[in-house]
Amino acid sequence: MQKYIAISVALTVGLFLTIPFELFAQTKRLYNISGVVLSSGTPIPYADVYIEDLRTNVLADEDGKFVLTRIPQGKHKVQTSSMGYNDAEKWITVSDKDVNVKIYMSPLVYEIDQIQVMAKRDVRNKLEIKETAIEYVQPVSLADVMVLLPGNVYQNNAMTKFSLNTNRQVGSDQNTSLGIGVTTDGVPQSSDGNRTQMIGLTANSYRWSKDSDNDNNRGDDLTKGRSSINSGTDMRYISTDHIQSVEYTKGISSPRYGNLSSGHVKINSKYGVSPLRIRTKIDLKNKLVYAGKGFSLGPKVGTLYVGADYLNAIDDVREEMDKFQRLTGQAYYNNKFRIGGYTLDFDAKVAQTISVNKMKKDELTYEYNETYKADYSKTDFMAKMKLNLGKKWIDNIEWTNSLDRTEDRVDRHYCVITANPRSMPKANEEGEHEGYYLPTMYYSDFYVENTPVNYYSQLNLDSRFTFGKRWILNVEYGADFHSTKNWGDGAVIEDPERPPFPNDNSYMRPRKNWEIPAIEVGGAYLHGILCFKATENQTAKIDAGGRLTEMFNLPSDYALCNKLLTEPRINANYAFGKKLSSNIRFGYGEENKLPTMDYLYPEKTYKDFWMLNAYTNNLANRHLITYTKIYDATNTELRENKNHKIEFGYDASIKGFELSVTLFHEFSKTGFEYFKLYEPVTYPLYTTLKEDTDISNRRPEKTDYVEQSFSEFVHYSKVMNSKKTTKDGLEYRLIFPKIKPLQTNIEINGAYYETTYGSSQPDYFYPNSKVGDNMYPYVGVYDLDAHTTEKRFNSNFWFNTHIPRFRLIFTNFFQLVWMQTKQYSDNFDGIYKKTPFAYIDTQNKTHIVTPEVLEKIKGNEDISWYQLKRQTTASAYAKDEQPVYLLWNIKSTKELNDWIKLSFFVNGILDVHPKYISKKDNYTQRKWSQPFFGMELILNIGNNKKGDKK
Amino acid sequence: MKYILTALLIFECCGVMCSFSQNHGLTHCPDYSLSPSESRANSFNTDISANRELRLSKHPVFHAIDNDLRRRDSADTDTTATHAQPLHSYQNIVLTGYSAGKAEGDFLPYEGNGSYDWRLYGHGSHNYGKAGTLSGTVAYARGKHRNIGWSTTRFPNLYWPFILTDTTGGNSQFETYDIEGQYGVNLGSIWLGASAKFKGEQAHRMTDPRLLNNTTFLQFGLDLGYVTPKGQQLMLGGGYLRNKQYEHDRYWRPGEQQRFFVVHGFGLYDNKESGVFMGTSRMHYLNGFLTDFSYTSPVQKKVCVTANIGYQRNKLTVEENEYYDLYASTTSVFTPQLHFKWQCGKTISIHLLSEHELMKRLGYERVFERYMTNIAKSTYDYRQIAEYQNYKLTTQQGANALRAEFALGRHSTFGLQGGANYLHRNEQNTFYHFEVDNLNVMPYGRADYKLTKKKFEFSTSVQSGIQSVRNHTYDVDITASSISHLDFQTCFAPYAYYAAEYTQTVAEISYTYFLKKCGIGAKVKYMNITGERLKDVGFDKPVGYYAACPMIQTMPDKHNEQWFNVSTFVIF
Repeated sequence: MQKYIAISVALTVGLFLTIPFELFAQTKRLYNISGVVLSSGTPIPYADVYIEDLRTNVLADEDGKFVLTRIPQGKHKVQTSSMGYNDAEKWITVSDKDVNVKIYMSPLVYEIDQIQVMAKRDVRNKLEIKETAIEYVQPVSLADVMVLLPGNVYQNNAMTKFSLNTNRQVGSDQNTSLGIGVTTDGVPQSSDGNRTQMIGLTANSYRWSKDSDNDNNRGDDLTKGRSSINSGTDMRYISTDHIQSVEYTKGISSPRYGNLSSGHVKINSKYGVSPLRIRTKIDLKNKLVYAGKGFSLGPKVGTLYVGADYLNAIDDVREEMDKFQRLTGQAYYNNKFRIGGYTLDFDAKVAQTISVNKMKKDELTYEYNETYKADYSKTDFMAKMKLNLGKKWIDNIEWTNSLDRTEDRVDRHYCVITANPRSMPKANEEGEHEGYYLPTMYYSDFYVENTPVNYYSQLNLDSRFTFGKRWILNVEYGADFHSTKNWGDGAVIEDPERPPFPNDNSYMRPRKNWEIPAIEVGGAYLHGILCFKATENQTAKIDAGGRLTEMFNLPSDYALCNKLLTEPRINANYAFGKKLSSNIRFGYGEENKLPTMDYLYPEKTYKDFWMLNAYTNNLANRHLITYTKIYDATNTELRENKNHKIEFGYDASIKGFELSVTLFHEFSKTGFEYFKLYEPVTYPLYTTLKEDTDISNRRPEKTDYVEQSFSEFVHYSKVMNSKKTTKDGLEYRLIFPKIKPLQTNIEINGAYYETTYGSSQPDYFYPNSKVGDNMYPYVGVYDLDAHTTEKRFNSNFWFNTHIPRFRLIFTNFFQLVWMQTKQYSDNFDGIYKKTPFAYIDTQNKTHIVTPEVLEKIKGNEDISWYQLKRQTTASAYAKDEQPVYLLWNIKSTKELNDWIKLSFFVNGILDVHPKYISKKDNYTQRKWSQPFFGMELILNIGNNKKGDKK
Repeated sequence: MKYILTALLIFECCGVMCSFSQNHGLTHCPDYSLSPSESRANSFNTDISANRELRLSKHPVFHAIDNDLRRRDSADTDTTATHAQPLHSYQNIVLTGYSAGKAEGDFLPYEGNGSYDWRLYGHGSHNYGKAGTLSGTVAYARGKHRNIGWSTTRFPNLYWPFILTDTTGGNSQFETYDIEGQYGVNLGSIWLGASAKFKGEQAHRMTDPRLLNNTTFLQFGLDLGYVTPKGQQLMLGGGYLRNKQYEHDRYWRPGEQQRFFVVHGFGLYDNKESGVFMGTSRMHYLNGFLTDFSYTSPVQKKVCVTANIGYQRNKLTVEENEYYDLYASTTSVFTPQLHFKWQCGKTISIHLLSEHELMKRLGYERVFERYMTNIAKSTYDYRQIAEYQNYKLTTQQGANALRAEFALGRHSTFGLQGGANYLHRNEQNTFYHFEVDNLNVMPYGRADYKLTKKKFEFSTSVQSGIQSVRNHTYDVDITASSISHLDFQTCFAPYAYYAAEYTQTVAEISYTYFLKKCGIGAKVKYMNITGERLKDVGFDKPVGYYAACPMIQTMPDKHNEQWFNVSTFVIF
């Protein structure tokens, strides 16, 4: 711990120490760049004006005027962005006085040659996807936009079910998905407080886990597939229509953002003044309509952008139950005030997302007279103030506050049909209890209420120092606080004796979500960017800092209680060259994802066994006695999931060619999982009647039977930091200069990813058989180090043809996956007969396997031992290797005039998936891909930029 | 003009071209059919002078040549013109419409006997001067085809006879997306053009087992145009065609004993692959090319001749999950067209059209064996060991027509047209010596009238014909086999459908009101078919597989059909 704090502090302090001390004495005056943002002589109100290198920005006022304060001497690239306009940039040289500039922006129409439809990369390898690029993707949700990122492969959009989010990997895993931080307007979108609890819904549910022994009844599959519990942000609910730009950091995030481990998605909402925009999109799965407009509320009153969209989605039109209907609305207010000699940017946002198809139906709900009501509503409030002080030690103070509340409730009137009357326990405590028998058909009424409420506050300050003409230090520092509390009732069964999922005796005795303590997390960060400009064409930059995080409100016996967690992060780059401009990058960082509410406070597992089970047709003569054991899945030793990242990169550009290569290595050995453990249990069993006992025509009692002591092993899951994920790879991006005769830009991007998923815990195996009349007496413990390695190498070829004269953009996208493999391996590769290194007996004692015992296990004679020998078929180790496959997508947008844009896309217009013989499954396979297509109409009513274009 | 077999041409059924630069053509989209009924109505209801122009407009350079010539001649006055002078000239249209239709008695089971649909359609053309002419069409539609039986494959005519069927049948709900772009540019003495078309359809059936069909059509074309100094226009085009249909059938529910038959003509099916399955999936591919050559003599002359020759060839392959190319077929289509226009005087012009579509399809069945690729790991694959060519389908259809067009004043025309359409359909299996043959002729008459004023435009037409059967042969007998076959469902039913005599009438009325910068209008079309199957066309053998599928009667029945369409549009 001390070590990490030391590293963090040292990194930041080191920045200062690298500066020659004498330069402090030479600190020169800083100057202002003031100006106005125009489009053909008309001021553009509230445009964002920024200098990326200095990490400074300011909003223009309603007259388009701006002042960037405390700008050091030198040449700076001043950039502007505003909704409805192409980004503009202007090089400004600050010598020894304030500078006044005019920046001209061109309207965002296809007659202009500057339309950007791909992601933009900055020197830290952060990718920014701007308004036109988002629009051109024709997305339904944020997940669709991700195809623009190098290394990502095209996937059919799926709105009906939650899909794990991925970052720099082949395949997917829950920890990466959970660890991807999503911030909207600076506010983290947290799903850590989500708890949808019911069998099959809570992660600790027996039926949720993959190793479920019996798939006959997996609980509420319908709801389970839609839940994102412990899996991070549900991108389906993030409508892209309210988004102006998205920044994606795959590598090392800024220390300003915490509680993430696998990359960062920064979303900026639309704001400002704009014409009425109506968007209608139809494709095979989605029907979407959006309307939004930015209003000027009058002089000095600010602007208000209001938008709403409605989405009706269904992945498979034949699955009526899967309909997903979303309505989102957002209002974003911004204004600029003058207070004394300072300016204050004020932003406030209210957003609402609701599900529309509350009553879900299909032929089965009709047939069984069931009802299924799913109600989702999320309300967000955000207020942000940024005071531009322009003082020597503090340039800006920014204070962000947000509050969101989600009401996620499922109400069901559910028909339960079982083949036989089932024995059910009633107990909420351990020990012996009376049970009862369920009828073979009944209705269960229940609801599951998940109501997480998040509060977030962040105070951020930034300062800028210059030392001489060549050194600039920008410092960003601050603190944040995040609280999550779930106020829902959890699962409530109207009649506890009519459970909805009776086939599994591990179902939980309901616990109210609001009984679970809130998660409270505080953090502080320091982030310094030291820039040394040696010459006009040589710049070195060190971007370093750290973050301290502590979880509050935890019980004192938790390992995370009073623990200060550190996250050092550093990025450095050196740019040089004039004709051949190069940039070498290096980064190292540690990122922590904290456990969710479900991981910190999991449900207890109840295991019920029948001791006496006497069922007759005569109701009065039935008697059921159960024995209940409770297992606590809570792991007080649970820690954060720490992901270590290291990356090297090289970027070059010459004569319009651009190359970017990033080599990375990431590993996490502390990912969360519900790990399956075994414990013996012994209880009395009454199955054999005593001699001369007659129980006909009366209710049998324990005393009528011979008491036996019965032992068996049960398994339950406990939250552990045991998941291991290693990611290695190389991402590349090659941009060619525009081929003028064809008016086409070509970009090739892709990646080689190698991802290994494993567990740091030994493997437990129970043969689940009998030896004589008794259950098998041992659980084997194996040092398997079982892991699966997946590899993929892909290239995406983008041919973007933009013909300004025709106001037309046409894109051909070819995706070639050169190789994709998946292989399981463990410490017993090639042996196929796995033997344990330890075993647990019925007294719950763990023994190391001695050579004598090992011989018995390896042999075939001693039935008590050889069952611990695990057999694996050769195909389990076989590499599943897919041949090269190709996908061709096309899309196009034609701007008919300033008001109307018409787009269409066809994904999978050509799909070459050769037939191959799966070595794993031993048969020929073919992966057909269905074409997916649609079209879109965008109306910008009142948009008249003809004058501007001239 | 044509019979319903237009779907045999890959893009005939999905082209959405509306290529006339004047407003009368904008609302006339004969190729855009969303149901078999509409296809029958549109192909029958033909003004042959418009038909010529439609054929020419399939060349992307046609628009560019037309625009350039129009621009060059804009100062000139065509003193020989007998047509009503266009008062209004618009390049773009947005149209929405609703159609519905139903059949009584006989129908083609794989088409269903009823439909409704709604559409949104847009077409535009823009001339960028020397940079060329860009035109495009976009359309979205959704609807339902009712009571489809004995085909789970959409557009079965494309793949016939290799289709998948089941014993359930039902209503097919569909939505379609069409997009088409054409570009033509003048490069000195020649014009170059390019075109691309895409049509995608997703259809599904909610009756268990539920179907999902994803069908896409793609066409790319390049075109070359040349105008001689004397004004003769030559256009040569070629293109690549691709069609893909993915079919996925599932949601088989306990207790249901539906079978999926892999049919290969005359009621024969692959017995091994036609079991009771939980579900099945299949992929059809059609790849082909087309060429088209057009010649037009100078249009200003009193006699103008237009000749078009088209040829298309495509190859079908069908994949099951584990097999390659279970079946295959090759289809060749030859489409000659000849049109004469004689300007008899200032007010009369005579048109003569002769056009034909000759199609030949050969079907190939392949035999596969399963073999081990790795004995140690029990890995297996399939390999082809034989191929048989037994199936053959030929169709000849076409029309010969004469039209007289009278100018009634400067802005109205009246047309009279008469002619005869014919269809000859012959299906053979050379191994079993099966043959089915239908030869029909339909003489018809047509009258149309159009009035164009500054404020409005009105047009109406009525066309009526009587189909008579000249020959019908049904020589199929497989009852000796121990396995029940589907000859009644998949062979007799189409035969019986064509062996009918009926009267077909199509009427159309359209009104457009012109505002300052645009026109708004409405159009109504109606088709009625009344007739009967021939008395001697009945099925007196045992019907294999009685099923829930919608089906025709074994004995002669009515042959009635009604269809209508109502559209509103804006032209600008």
